Amino acid sequence: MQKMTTYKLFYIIRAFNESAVIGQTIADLKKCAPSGEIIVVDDGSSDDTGSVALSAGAVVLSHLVNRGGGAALQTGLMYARLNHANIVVTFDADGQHDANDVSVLIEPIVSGRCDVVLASRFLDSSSTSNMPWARRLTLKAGVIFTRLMSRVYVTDAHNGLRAFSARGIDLMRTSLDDMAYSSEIYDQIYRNNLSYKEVPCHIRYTDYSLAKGQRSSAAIRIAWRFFLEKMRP
Amino acid sequence: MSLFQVLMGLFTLLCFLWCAWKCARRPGRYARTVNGLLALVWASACVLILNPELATVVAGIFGIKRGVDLVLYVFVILAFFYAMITYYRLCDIRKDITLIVRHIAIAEHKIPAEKERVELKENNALQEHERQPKV
Repeated sequence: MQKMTTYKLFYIIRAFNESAVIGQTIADLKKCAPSGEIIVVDDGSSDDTGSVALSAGAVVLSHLVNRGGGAALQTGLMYARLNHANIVVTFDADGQHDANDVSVLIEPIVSGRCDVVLASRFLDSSSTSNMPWARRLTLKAGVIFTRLMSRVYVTDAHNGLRAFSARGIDLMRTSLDDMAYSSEIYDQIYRNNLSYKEVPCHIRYTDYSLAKGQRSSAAIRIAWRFFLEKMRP
Repeated sequence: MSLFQVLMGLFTLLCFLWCAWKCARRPGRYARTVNGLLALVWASACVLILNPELATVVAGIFGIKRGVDLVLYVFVILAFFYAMITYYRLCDIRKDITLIVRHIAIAEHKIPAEKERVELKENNALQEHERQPKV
């Protein structure tokens, strides 16, 4: 892997009924993160998420019907591949990620040290200060599940803030449409022998992000879906 | 032989022949496996209907007292098997829908006005450059 002097950076934001916050999320990225093309995958929203994102300056890919987080990510990655992106950063639409973390996130890829960079909220204890205990417990269980099923050793298995190099973009082809894709990502990292690194990040737990985020009870369904896919004949 | 045995025996035999024919003719490993297993199920059903005492003999081999219990256990296992096949088939249909939705989304992507203006300007400049006579 070589150090990059110039690169084409794409941000992929999956959004489903996020019209209230998507404009601010895009504005934050434009203001605080390295410049790149912002792609919003509107996953069949019933509100005006797509038009808000478009007027905020993002390229909008609209799913006609809701297909889930995994499907939206793959749509964004396919668009990035077609447009010859060198780096892709996946960013949550609900405003829980800090755009200032992106520079640190992409640095290992720019310097040619790894293919995938994963953000972790558990590397910096200050970012988990107001995390609900049920969420913390679920995330820790997710880490153990990932280690057992995918043999990838991470401290935060379900963080939407990730960065992929050109090799990572090319090889990251998940097949699960729903949120179980986040477990499948680690499977792809292991199978394709992608080098990875974790960097600390800051998570803002607002009432909005907690209400919009996955419920802890959904973890069982996600794990079951992932398990069934692994058992597929 | 009772009327039930004659009718059901004939029905299961026809089902067996239908599945065996599909197993032999259909391309693809998946379709062949499923139809082969179904043919096996119908053949077993046909044999057991025509000779019910055989179920008790086979059940005895597995340590089960009654033949009807063996049939019940096998039925439950097959029901699970069928549910799994249906689930994976449904997943495949969902994936196909996603592929269509994805291709439409990319083909009809919307570009913000500012970027559209820049791209238009670049295209015009390129066309102007191409139109200029080469010296």
